[in-house]
Amino acid sequence: MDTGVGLYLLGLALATGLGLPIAVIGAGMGQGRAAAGALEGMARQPEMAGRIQTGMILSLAIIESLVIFALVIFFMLSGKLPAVTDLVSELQKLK
Amino acid sequence: MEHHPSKWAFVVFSGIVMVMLTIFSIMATRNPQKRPGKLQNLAELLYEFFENLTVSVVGDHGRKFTPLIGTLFLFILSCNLIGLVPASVAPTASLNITLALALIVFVYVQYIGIRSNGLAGYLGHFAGAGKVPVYMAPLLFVIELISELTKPVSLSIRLFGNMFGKEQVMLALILAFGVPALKYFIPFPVQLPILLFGVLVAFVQAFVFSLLTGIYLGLMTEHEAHHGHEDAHAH
Repeated sequence: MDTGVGLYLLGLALATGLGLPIAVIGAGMGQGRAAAGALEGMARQPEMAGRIQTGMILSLAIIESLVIFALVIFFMLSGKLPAVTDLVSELQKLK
Repeated sequence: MEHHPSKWAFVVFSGIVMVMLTIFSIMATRNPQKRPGKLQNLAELLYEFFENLTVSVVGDHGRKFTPLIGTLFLFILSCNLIGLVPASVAPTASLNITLALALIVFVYVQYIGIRSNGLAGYLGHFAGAGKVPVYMAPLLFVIELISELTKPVSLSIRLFGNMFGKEQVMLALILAFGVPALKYFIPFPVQLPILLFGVLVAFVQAFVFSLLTGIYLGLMTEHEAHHGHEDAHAH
């Protein structure tokens, strides 16, 4: 197997493994801030809790959809990764 | 990735959901009583919930959108929940179904936009008429057009990704832990926490989809709301 294919597989594996966690870190921090702000608002003004909650769920969902996009890409990429057994047999053929 | 259900399964299960919802609505509203029975009570409760939701999101002039938003909520919720029943799939875990729903919303929002603002007002809405200087209008028009076209994409992929992702995570957990455990005759439901999470996600995603539909409708009919206020002041 030549170096190009090896590098491609390396990049693919790293992107598959690391892409989603990076998205999750960012979205987790964003969602935490959104939820903290909303809860603070609710604690200060309990009479506005209903409207704040609607807005909070909405903003959480919009932030979360970014992670979901990353998740969809993750599934697309993980489908392209070859199975380990295939890879091993391919390498043995080359020897 | 050979674990996908047949593509017809999604159609069949969405058909089952449609039939169930139709039967429910016919049974609940066939013979309305002044003192409602159990089913009618439930239907009235649901309708009131959707009406409050719509009015709180769109505004008072948006009361006429209640049927659309309520139908979307009920259909998506039932589609999400039927996926939790063993040996069934969630129709919303297919991009075709969610894209169809999002396109319904997209076309309806444009239709309402043209009908309530007129064609000129509808195009002016994209160019930010009356809000920005004239020289910014062409740039804003392009940006707004792109953001309008992204709405159905994000709407459909959000729902699809949530349901599909949940199923894939469950599958991965079962294949990684559940199946090996079965070899030692230990039936270990590793997917249980994800299932519980799935119930929550089913409600939240149905809520978000209908809420965003309401917000898009509200953005398109802003100007009607102002008219409503003026009328209210005049009277």
